[in-house]
Amino acid sequence: MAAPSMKERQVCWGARDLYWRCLDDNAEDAARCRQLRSSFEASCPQQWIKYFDKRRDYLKFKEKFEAGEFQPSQSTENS
Amino acid sequence: MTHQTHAYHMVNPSPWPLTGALSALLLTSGLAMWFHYNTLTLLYLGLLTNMLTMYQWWRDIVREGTYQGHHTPIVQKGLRYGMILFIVSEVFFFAGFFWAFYHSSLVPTHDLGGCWPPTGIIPLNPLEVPLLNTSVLLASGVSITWAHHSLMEGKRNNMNQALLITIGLGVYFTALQASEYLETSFSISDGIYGSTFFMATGFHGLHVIIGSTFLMVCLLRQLKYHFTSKHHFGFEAAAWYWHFVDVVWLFLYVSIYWWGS
Repeated sequence: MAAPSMKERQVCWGARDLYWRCLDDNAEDAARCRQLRSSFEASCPQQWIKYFDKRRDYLKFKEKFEAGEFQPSQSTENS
Repeated sequence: MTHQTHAYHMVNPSPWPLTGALSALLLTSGLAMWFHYNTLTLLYLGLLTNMLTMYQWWRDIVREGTYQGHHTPIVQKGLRYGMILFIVSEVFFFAGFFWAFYHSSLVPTHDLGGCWPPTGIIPLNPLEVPLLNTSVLLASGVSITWAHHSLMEGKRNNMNQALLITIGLGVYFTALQASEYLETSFSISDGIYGSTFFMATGFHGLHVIIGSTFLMVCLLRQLKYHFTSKHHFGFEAAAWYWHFVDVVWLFLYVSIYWWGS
């Protein structure tokens, strides 16, 4: 199985970007983006799909973290 | 004939190995009880019996060697092998924690952000207190070497002073490290960074305390004239252990504090 060529990679990234944009517009509702999901899965290698999914989860976490949503609880303040 | 015809030490029957094993049982079960049922009784019992065993066992060894003369050159050789092998086992103990650190930090996972230090972790500045700690331990390595040479040259005052300085530096390191622990913005439960940081530096700190205690015992024995300029294996063992503790710190500093920031 050869690694994807530049063209194939660009198709994959494009599909991923479309899918992610759909998720952004629909507040992470994967049900509304099923078509883009399947074209994303068709354009990218399996390992890349797993990686991109984990990457998105992390990026969403990072947004929340940088917005200050995770503060230490009162009980751990002085321990 | 009632005297032995060899130079080895056939130790008299002693209860301390048994009490030591029992204390190990109490310590381990005590930890489990503390973790799961929030009760300290068994643990305290374990610590007490452990301290008593150590005190009495090592006191007996001092009696057998220093007061009764059982530590002939061949016996001393065996003690040297023993200490070396023990220190080697400690090296492997720390190797595990370094393995864990490098495993996690060389290929950081997605949830950390694919980077090290992980997202949200603010590491300590390696050029502040950690660098001071490094100089403190290196200096203590110098002072303990001075103490050893003074001992071998029969310079009693110098030896006492140098050993005291070494112990002082050890205590200073412990105090500095304790204050650093209070200063960190992260705790042991802050992901893999917190776990590897506190497990590795925590066990190192414990070993500094153990090493300092060993050196304090040596100082007490030195003040009681136990050591001669030719025969002072207890001190040498403490010095080897102290150098080991120093080397572990150097690896910790370079890996976790410096590279890991």
